[in-house]
Amino acid sequence: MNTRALSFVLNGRHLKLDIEPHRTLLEILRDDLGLIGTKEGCGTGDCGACTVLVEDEAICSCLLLAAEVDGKAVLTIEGLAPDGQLHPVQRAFIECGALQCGFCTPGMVLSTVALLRRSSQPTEQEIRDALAGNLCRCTGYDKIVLAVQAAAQEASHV
Amino acid sequence: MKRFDYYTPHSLAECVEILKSSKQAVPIAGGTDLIPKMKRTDRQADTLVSLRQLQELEGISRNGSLVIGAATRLSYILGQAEEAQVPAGLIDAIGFIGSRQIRNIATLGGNLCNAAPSADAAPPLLALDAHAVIANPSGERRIPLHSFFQAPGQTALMSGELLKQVELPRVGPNAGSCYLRHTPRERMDLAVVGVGVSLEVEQGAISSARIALGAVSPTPLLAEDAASELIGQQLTMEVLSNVAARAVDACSPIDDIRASAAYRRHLVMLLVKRATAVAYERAVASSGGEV
Repeated sequence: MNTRALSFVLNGRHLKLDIEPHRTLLEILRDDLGLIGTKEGCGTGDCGACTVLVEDEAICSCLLLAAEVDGKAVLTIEGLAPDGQLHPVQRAFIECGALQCGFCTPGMVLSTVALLRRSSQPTEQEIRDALAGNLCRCTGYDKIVLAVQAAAQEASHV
Repeated sequence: MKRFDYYTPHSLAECVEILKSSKQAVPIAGGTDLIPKMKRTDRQADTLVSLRQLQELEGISRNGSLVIGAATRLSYILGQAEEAQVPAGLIDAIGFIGSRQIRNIATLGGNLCNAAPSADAAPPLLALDAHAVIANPSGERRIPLHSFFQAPGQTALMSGELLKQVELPRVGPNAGSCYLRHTPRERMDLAVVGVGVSLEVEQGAISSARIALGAVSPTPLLAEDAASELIGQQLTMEVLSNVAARAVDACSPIDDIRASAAYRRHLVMLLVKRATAVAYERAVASSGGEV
């Protein structure tokens, strides 16, 4: 087997793995590391259910070869609430009714976290643009937008 | 995906040598086109050569021309738009590509090398008179971008070659550019028609112009006859209609799952008028409204 060493930071912890280069980051997270919060919706980068943050930027983990995160910091949905305390964005989604089946939610939440880290008071259009790569079949998006606005509003009072 | 050998060369020289060594060696930058193809087994590659250690392929610089490294991520170009004075038409186009997630890993070079007839970066770059700089084991060669696209999915890159950077000539303060496209969905879609326009205005009249069309011919297309109709003209509805009609004559759209050829011609007519008008307004605005 042709493997290579992968060394990266996952949810704040340093990890070293030996992986075959054809494995995507999504496969490593779900199949090797048991982190099943990140979902596979399409496998082609169209739905965003597989969104994770790499160096604070939202990316589709189904498209990224795991080898490409060597030396980088990765955040999955599990990394947002490490000790069980929900992240403000997660609380806002719950309080605003921004999820139904929940399948798109990890990706939506992480895209939101990435947005609010770079733009603390986004306009509605900026929110919709930032979430354009995250598809939801249940909610019709409006409550998701409200949740993002609520989270931004709450953060501005901190 | 099937297994492959994977390299992360630290120099461009090392990279082109690996690419030359195997017909099935493929470079990977963002991989947003390549990985889906490999998952579908549309594309077979026994060797992937990652470009992520090649700093000389990333970044935006000016040496008279604006130089954008082929492996520069789309989101980076958007973020640098103002500081690096990236022409508006190119920024328009990049903003349409994919989603935030896609733009955070996809690259400008990847959009060009994938060579879809609908590649959004192509029409504005053609309109801006871009050149492609290609690295190979003997050094480098530089070709006008319109020679880069040869057929759907096919570029002028030969075995062992890699797109290194895209160069845009300096634009004056009286220049404006625009890219518009039509897609059935608001986001995350392929252009049914794309139009890129770049022009310069002096004393109210257009002194130079280039118009390029995407998704209406096997490769992105320069509409030279249409653009020449703009020279020396003030922008009137009549001039716009004339230019748009010439652009429609230049294209050869097909019927496909996204649109009929007739609808594409209609869109070319509309979007050439709109993009030309926007490019003109931008040229006037950027020159301080004095032309």
